Amino acid sequence: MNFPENLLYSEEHEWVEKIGPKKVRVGITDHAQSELGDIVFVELPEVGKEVTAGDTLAVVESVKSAADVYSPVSGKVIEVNEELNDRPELINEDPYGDGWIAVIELEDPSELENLMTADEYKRMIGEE
Amino acid sequence: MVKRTAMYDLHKELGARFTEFGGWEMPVRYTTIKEEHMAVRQNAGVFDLSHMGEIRVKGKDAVEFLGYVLPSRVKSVKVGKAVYTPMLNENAGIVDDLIFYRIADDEYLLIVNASNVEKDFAHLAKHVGEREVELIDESAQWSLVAIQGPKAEDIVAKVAEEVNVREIPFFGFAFGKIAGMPVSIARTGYTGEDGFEILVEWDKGPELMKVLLEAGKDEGVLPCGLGARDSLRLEAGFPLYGEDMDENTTPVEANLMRFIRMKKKSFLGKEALQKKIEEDPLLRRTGIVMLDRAIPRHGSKIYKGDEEIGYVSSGTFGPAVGAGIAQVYIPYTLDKGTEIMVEIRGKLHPAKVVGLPIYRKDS
Repeated sequence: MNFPENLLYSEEHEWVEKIGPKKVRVGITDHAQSELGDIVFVELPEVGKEVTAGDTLAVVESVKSAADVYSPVSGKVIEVNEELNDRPELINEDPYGDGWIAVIELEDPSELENLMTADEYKRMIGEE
Repeated sequence: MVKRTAMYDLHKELGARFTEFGGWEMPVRYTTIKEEHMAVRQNAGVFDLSHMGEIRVKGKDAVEFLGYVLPSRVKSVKVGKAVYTPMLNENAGIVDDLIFYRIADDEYLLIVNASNVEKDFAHLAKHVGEREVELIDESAQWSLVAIQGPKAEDIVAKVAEEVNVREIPFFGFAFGKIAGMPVSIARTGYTGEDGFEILVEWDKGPELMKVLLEAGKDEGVLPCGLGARDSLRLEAGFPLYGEDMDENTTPVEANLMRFIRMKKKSFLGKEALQKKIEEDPLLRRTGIVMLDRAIPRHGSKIYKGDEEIGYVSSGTFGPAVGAGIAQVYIPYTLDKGTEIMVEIRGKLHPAKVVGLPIYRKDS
């Protein structure tokens, strides 16, 4: 399984990529997509939605069940991956790339310090 | 304690992910549910169903007893044939649904749901009364392996000995051997595809599963878990006990009257069932397909306009349909094609009534 070094990770299996001083892109990890299996539907947040870290950001559904995606940070949703409406399987195929879920404008960039490094995340899920 | 079938180690070797179902630790999938589902629709899939229960009913009064305790045909069922039926209590509530094989003139074998084995056995025992009938719970004695899909017959024909599987009719069964192991091969299933359910001695289960997977390698056979079993049976319109029906449901609401023989002089629950028919309950089990990408789940509410009209009893993504599908309880007065709305996480999503089965091979 793949856990890029340049990303940060949450305990709830989301990844965070810093793409600007106050901007992050988020999605779910390779581990999470593999646990869920075929993703067949993604309920995306509305652009403009304010989220607090730990709030439900999106819902991903596999054949078997629905799972909440929790926002790993606080801020405002400024972009969502509309492509997932037609191709939810992108999350399985490319969880860190085309399978991204949303871009969030951070309320407080220091919040990123609460997240894990790739090594810490791997340890948490027992990949090491 | 969660129970395991004889095939647990084999499932692990095959890379299964497990789930708890009816008190058993069972494979939910080996690869992906979609892939396994489509393998069954296009080629074949092999399932471990050893969690299911087997109850043998035999003796001088077995015919009369089962004829009373089951609402379906019993006496007229020929040796070598099988029947699907719900089993009812005095109130016509569904105790379980099952398949029985007529093994001999005075002997039947019931295949029942894993979670209901003890309940069913107690129910049968309670109603035996003075009859000369022997009830034997053989659930720990048999492994049950299903092979389902358009290529199932070709695959089983390759390995079956002392029996011509091509001659086994729909809902018929025959005894024979596979890789030297004595088996009972029934042309039954829960997927909407042709296929077989094969009983073999408990310890031989893993070998039977391996033989079938090996024999079907060139036909694209895959081991399949309970995930695909659920999505397949949902598309095929078969109810799941505990989700789509329970003791508060009668065959009228569950849309299972075609399996009931109302012409029989008497059977357990007949009077209550007759009353239910006259009551003409509005909500009946049927099928819907979502018109957007949302996925209905057990308990989702259904609306028409502002009015709540029913609920989802089980739902999933239907891989062969390519959309969310569900078995639902809604007024039977709604025609096929009627648009309704399903509430999913607080939002209403459009769906269409399609009846049962939800997926048809030729559609």
